Amino acid sequence: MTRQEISEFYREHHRRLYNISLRILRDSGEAEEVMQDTLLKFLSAPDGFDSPARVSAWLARTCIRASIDRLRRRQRRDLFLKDYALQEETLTPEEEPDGALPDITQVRKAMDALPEPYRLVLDLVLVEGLDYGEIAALTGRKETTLRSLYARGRCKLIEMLKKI
Amino acid sequence: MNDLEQYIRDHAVQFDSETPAPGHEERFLARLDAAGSPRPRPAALFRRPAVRAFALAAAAIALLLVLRPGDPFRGTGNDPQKIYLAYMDRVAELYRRPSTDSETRDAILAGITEEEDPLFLQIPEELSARERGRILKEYYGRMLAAAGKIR
Repeated sequence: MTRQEISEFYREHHRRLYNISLRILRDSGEAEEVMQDTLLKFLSAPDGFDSPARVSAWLARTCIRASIDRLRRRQRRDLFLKDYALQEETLTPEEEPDGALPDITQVRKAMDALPEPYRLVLDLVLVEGLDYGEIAALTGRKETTLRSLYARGRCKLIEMLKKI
Repeated sequence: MNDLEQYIRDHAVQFDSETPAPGHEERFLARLDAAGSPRPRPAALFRRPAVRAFALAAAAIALLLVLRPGDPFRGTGNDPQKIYLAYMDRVAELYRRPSTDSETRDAILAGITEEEDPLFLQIPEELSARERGRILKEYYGRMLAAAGKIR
């Protein structure tokens, strides 16, 4: 790639990768670093991608993995390295807010305000579109734990949206 | 999929609205320049076929020694966190293996591999980094060896 092509490639992908990382790390400096690391890694990798969709998917997965690794390093006692013992708990499904759904910016704010384990799983499932198997592979958590975190996070999100 | 979840999925693109601090592209290009310094050309000696073959063989052996294929803790050095994360990655792989009775298998795996207080958090700081790395690798290596036998 020429320098010009690299710049164009950067402009095409940086924003999405930055936002992915920012939602996980909640630190703009670290998110920028991870985003750039991901792009540099791609540029130094052998060219084996046959479609833009595969490039985009590779970048997103690599960025998520790098962000989660950082999160684990930063908070070694939290989300990934500590058991939440959620599996046995019975969850009462929360009813959705009555009437029209709130504005998406309010949903974003509510998701941002969720405690970390729930926010991360909801984000990876709903915004990034990953399935539990993929998230388990990225985080080292069991799928059952992730499903519990998701269900609890969803309840908390609905609870918060009802207060809006 | 309920309405709220579908609603979020439909608007996922609106979650990507933040932008990095000004100057990010320049910082990226500076990093790119730093990473892309030209590689030195091989010396004339290494262009000779015999020397080249010997050098390649030596490099392959060195690579095997460094990479240690099959070693779950490859590349972790003596960093307790990295050792633990490498261990967790292997455990995750074990859970993903097909099984005729995955429920029982998972319960046994959990019994072997899960720690209430992970050793890597408890290992005394007074020990040298090398000693800590050795202890952790031995401990987690044994757990993996046992867990690997579960089908």
